[in-house]
Amino acid sequence: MRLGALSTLIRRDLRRTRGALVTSGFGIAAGTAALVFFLALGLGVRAVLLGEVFPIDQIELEPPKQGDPGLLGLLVGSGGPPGIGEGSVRDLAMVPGVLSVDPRLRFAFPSSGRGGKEIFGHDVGTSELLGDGIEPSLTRGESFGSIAFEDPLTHPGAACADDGGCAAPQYCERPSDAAAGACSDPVPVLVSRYLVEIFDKSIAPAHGLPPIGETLVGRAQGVTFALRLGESLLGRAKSGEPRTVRARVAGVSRRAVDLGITLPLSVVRRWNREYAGAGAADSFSSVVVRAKDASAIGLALERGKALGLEPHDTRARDVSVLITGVMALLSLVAAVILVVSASNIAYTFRVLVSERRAEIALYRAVGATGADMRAWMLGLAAAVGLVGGAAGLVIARALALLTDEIAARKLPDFPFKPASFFAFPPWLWAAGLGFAALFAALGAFRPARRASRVEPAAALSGS
Amino acid sequence: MIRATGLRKLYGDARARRAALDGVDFSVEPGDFVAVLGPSGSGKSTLLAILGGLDRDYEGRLEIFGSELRGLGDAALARLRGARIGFIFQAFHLLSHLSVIDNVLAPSLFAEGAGDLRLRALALLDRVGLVDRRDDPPTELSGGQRQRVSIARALLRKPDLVLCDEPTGNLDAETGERIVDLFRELHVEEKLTLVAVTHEERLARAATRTVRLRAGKIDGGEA
Repeated sequence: MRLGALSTLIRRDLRRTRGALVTSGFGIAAGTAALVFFLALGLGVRAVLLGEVFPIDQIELEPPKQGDPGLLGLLVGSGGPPGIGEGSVRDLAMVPGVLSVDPRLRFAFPSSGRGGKEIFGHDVGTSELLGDGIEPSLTRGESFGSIAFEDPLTHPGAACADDGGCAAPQYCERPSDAAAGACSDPVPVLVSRYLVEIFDKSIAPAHGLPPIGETLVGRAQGVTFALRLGESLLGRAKSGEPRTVRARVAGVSRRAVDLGITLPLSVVRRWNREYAGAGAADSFSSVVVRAKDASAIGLALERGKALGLEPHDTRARDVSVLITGVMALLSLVAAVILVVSASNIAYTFRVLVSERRAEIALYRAVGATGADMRAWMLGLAAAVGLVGGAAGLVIARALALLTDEIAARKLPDFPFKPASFFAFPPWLWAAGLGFAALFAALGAFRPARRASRVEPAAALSGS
Repeated sequence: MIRATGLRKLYGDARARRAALDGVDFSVEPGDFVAVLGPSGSGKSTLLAILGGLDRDYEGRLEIFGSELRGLGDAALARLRGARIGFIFQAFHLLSHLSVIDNVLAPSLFAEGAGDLRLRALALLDRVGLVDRRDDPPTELSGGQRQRVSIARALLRKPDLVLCDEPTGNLDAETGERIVDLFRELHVEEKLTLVAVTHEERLARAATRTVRLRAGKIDGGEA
């Protein structure tokens, strides 16, 4: 049968059997709306949680944490955790699907910070400051305005003995065991969006400080603060003399450590060597593996395990499994609605075929094949499914907008609160329509087969 | 055109079998107007359904347009029915949700490559005197008018053979007479080959040949 003829038959049916078909289509619309709404919600939440809070396409690997060092260990020192060598970094970079392997070197000494008068009105400080170092090349593509994320001693200033010998904002970078140093620009520091969110939504309200906000981070860019090396509230470094250096906020970076500050690698190496010895400077404390998808991360985990490395944080995997489970459950509910709608379609079409036996027989008499009759019924069901599915998509989108509106008004601010809890990628629209048409056609499958098997002679004689 | 040999059709299950047709030999040549006469239950409609390929559950041999009917698949048989055979039924079988013109055009839905048949449909409605009722639903027509619409529908694709099942059975005498006259005209002017099963003598009188069926068998040869 020609497509034009099929569409003529379907159009006529949609007109004359409107009532029954609308009832059938209603179920399909409800099922599609539920399916698309739940999937969009899952995708939206997944995008926020796994894209920004716990990225699923990256994992940080580190040597196994050492057990309790015991009293003796505390007294004589445990020697620090083993590091990750360049060879392991290269090995991990060879794993299929891995996009980059970013080595990190954590501060191996106590430190604290103080500053922020320019944005908070008065200096605020942390009694303990965590930090690490990364290769500046890893931030290629990110813009920090006029501030270069590189070791300031790449271009050292004049020799100096103390900060008084340097023009502000420079300071005298003089290791504690050196007789003289060199004037240095403040060390560029990167922070993560995660830290900004935590500060804005938790720390700032608790201390009556104004939130920085991602858009206001620009204001903080260039702000300098004092960084105390080798000493913090918890104690002093075992070697080297505590001293104060200047640091400058360069900006927010995806490469920055979640809780702490990230500096150029060579700066951290230099300071680790000064306060914790050569062993703490020559290898890396962890590597961040970024991959094209979660399965490649799985391969990297296996390779890391072979290299004696373990994941620093498995929350991404846990959250991913949780979201996938919840999405599967909600999709199952939606699928049940669709199955019920399909059985409703089946009933409607069974009645339709029974009522139209004579009409089907007549069409058979004037040249229709059994396959034509089957195509007619399946086409009609698919059309009902598509119309119902389209209505379901509109309902799902409207419900999502309503939910977002209510969430924006009623839910309190929390870290990473998204503007929308839903994601509607193009494939979801197509899948919604496709499932609607598929379930409707599945419902009509047996009635359509019956239509194709109507005995024309018997039907036309009324028996 | 049609060669049927030893046609046999059984109804019922093994305990109560009944032969609707019992060894019928029958033939139709191009240009024939054959009336198959017989009382109710004699097997006339069964014979017509088998000849038109609407009922394939029979025994015996049936050749139509040079092809053994049983050898044709569903699609081939549907094509043959659509292109070469027209059907006229006692109950008209018009579709009440369609207009008169759309009823006449119903076979065109399944006519691949037949082109636009709308002009022919209008010409046929003009021929049967109903062109001015083309947009009306069949429910607004009288019995005779409905049968004329079904005749136009049967002729849409210029069939080689028209099979009529009690075409005047639901009509009063005067209207029935007019339909018989129309068949006679179509047979003479359009050189149509017609096979009509009926229990009415007036239709038989218009035919060029009559065959009588009784209890599923040809009764006393042809006339």
